[in-house]
Amino acid sequence: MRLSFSKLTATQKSGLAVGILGLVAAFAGSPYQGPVHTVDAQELARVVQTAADHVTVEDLADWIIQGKADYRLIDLRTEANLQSTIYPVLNVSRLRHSRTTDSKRTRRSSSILRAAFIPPRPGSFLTTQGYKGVTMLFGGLEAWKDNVLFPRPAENPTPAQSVQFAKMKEVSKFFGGTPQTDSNRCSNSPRVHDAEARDAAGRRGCPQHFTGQKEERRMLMPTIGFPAAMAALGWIDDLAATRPRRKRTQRT
Amino acid sequence: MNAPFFKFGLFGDNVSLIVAFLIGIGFGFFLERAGFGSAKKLTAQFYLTDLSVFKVMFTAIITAMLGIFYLGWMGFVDLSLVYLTPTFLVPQIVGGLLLGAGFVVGGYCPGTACAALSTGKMDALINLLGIILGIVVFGEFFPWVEGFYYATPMGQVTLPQLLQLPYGLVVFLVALMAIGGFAGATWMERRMAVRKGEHSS
Repeated sequence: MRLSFSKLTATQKSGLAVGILGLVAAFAGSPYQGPVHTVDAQELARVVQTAADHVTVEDLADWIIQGKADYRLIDLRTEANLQSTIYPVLNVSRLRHSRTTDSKRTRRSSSILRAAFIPPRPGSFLTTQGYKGVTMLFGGLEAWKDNVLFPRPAENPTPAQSVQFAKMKEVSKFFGGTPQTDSNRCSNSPRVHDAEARDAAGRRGCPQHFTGQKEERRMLMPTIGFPAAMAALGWIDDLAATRPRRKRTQRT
Repeated sequence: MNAPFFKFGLFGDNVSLIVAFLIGIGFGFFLERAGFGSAKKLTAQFYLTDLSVFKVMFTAIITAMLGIFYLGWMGFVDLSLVYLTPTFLVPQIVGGLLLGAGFVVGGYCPGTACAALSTGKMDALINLLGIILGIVVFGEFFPWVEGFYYATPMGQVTLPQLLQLPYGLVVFLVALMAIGGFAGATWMERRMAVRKGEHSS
């Protein structure tokens, strides 16, 4: 029997159109990952203004100590930088891994923390990828080190500040940090620039990042972090390809 | 220009009410034109003699589904900004059964009752008054049913997430279901018409 399109009724034609559109949809991919990603500028401005998408390092420390399980911590740094363990008791997820395995449901329910400031706001990109409840660590790793790992008392502490510092001392020990005192201060400010000051900080038993390496890392973060975010979002296939390579010198 | 327009600030709260009003008028107009202002026609679907409601509603669902899918795929609609009603499985099943029972007994669902009232149907007015009374009673007794109301929460979940299937594949399966449903409904209507003829002769 030969079928003729012109002999089909309007309902049958509509059914055929629905079937074809449905079949094409099956191979078209996800509408959440179309060629264009949009950012709600108004919503973004509101979120930035109210800092509603941020969590303080003190709150994050509380979450970890309390064993909260309704969030995940995702670090956008490269593998090399992850070697310097900042979250001793955490299983830090890599965004690249989670993107390939997460279901849409997981994306919607996950809270994701950014570990360091990486322009331009990777949280916004995560939102366009379907992630809901994206939260960023206020102050990034620097605040984590300064306030959680190596807290120090205020100059003239009020009773409330003293209580808070006593609490933070315990929190610091929990994470393997060292609470600072006035006589043994490893301050971030003023920055340690010269070799003599670095040595002095080293003699006081300050952690390594207070002895000069910190400056290098701060310089590197934006340059290594952004390709990592791009790679995590699938915009760069090979992260290694984006890294600067040393020029080979021919031996003579 | 990207959608959802309201979320992207194309218009504010006040204009959104006007837009909703216009969409409501359009929705009511097409409900009435589809014959859904008649309780007789509406309840006929429960006796399987006229499945127009099923066909019209499924057509609307399929049209919206394909439209949203392709507009999202082309980047005109940001689906992450489209609001999803949270799913509470058991309460919504119970609510659906209650609505269905009320539909069979009263002859209207809330939307069609409004469409029928616009044509001056007295039974639709009584039905709507009953709906309003039910809403008030529910509101007053809400503290007693609150626990059940929020039971079995599943969050803002969609079928692709629930079934762990690609979005496009689910669209294709629903499209197939619609085609099968239409064919089945037409076959059922014919069969019931034959049976009715046998009874009347």
